[in-house]
Amino acid sequence: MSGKDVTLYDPTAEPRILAAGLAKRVDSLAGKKIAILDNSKANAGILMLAVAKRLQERYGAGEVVKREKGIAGAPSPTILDALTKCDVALVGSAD
Amino acid sequence: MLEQKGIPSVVMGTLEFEQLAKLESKNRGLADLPLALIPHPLGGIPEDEAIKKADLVIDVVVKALTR
Amino acid sequence: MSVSAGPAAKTFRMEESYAAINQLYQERGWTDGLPIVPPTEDAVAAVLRYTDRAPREVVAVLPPRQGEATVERLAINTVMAGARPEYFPVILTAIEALADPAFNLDSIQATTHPVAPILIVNGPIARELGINSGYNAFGQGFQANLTIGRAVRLILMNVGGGLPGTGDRATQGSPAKIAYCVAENEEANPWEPLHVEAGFPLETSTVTVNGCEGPHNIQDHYSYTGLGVLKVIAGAMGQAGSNNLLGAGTPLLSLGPEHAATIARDGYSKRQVKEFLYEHARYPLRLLGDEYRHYLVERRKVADADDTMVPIVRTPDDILVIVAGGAGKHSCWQPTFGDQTRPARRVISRRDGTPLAKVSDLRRSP
Repeated sequence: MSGKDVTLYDPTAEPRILAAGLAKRVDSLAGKKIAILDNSKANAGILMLAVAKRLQERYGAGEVVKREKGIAGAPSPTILDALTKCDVALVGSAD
Repeated sequence: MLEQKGIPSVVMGTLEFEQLAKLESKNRGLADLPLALIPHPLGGIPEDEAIKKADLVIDVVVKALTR
Repeated sequence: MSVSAGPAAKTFRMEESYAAINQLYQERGWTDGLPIVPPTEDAVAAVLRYTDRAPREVVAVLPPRQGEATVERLAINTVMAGARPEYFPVILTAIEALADPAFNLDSIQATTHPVAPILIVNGPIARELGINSGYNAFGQGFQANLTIGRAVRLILMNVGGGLPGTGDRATQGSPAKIAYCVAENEEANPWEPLHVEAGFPLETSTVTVNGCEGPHNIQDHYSYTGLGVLKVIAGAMGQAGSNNLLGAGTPLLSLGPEHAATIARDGYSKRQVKEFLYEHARYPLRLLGDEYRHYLVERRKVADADDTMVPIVRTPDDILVIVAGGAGKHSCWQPTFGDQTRPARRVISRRDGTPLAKVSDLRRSP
């Protein structure tokens, strides 16, 4: 051992934070259109449709607009167009 | 991302992926993106079991979407 | 082309002891589990002589961490991998290819699937650097293959945040995730090499990336006709358990030179090989369980009949074919992550885009 010090590099990067706030929440779900963005993972659609149905039954939520995208990657502009006409969204699944 | 387009969203997933989901949101500057997580697994179970799991998270979903 | 300057890499000082340095890097989660070469200022400077880009230039932003892959950070991980400085242009080019949106690095990093980006190097630079394309092409023994592959993996971990259990959710993983770099055996290829097929001149060097599993061997010591070999290959590729059966995609067929020669000798072009496999590399729907069959019928729109044969790709052009390896009657195929990732390719070039004839052309004196 030399007893000397050496300068070394940190090989990592920190996350690059993009400033983005959360959207405003709604006051109530009554009459609100529900978007479902289904990433095609197993049972994702089943789960979210069941959640949406409960929201309709118990909270008077409005119609459901569901779109599927491939398992990974961003949704297409067409899909986004349809879903942004809704008031709230269920996105999934992270499994 | 629907949240970024002004649509309040909740990400649905399983508890197994809580860490990853939080990490992905954090890395996109959406640290508080709400999650509604059910017990793992979601895939590889019969449909009626998946539907039953919906009941476990309704309250979380409502809280996530409303003020 | 706009260039953004990223952050300078952080440095720190510690005792100049190989053991102590390795212990620290391991403890901080900065390694792949193997010992690293300490990234000192001199070592990193030696690597940076093999680029004409500024050290703080951001080559890519890598998911899931959205970490900025500056030239400097790529060089640091290159040193750690034990790569020679002259390998740097290949590593940098590979990262550029991986950042192509069509490749979908975000999903490749995070998925439960054991996918690893394979780096296929074509052109004269593969030979200049001694990247192995012959015997044991996918195995151990060659510094270029192992350390270029390893450097890319370290970058995906340290800069991209693809760490097992958090950013990287691979259920079981695979040894291919340690290092996965090969040169195509262009001399033994009876057809045109991968980059020429894609429209590049033979003398241009490229890196192609594809989101692959490790190699699945295809042994055929008995067929001496092209058709015979192709039938075995079709049987191997038309299997249950791959994402390609589930979701199509771009599987890779890596023919050993002897199988390639037999197939070509009987008059098959590369395109005809792909067409044959598109037709015959299929799995019988009736052998799958009810839930899987239901998925394929509902989501993939396959015909719900007992005689349906499910293809592994949407079109013959989605099958990639290379030649790799030495003598022997083995080939292999690499299933991919599925149709949410496409192969990506970049030319190994100078900063201004001019293709690089030789890596040594780029070297700057200290």
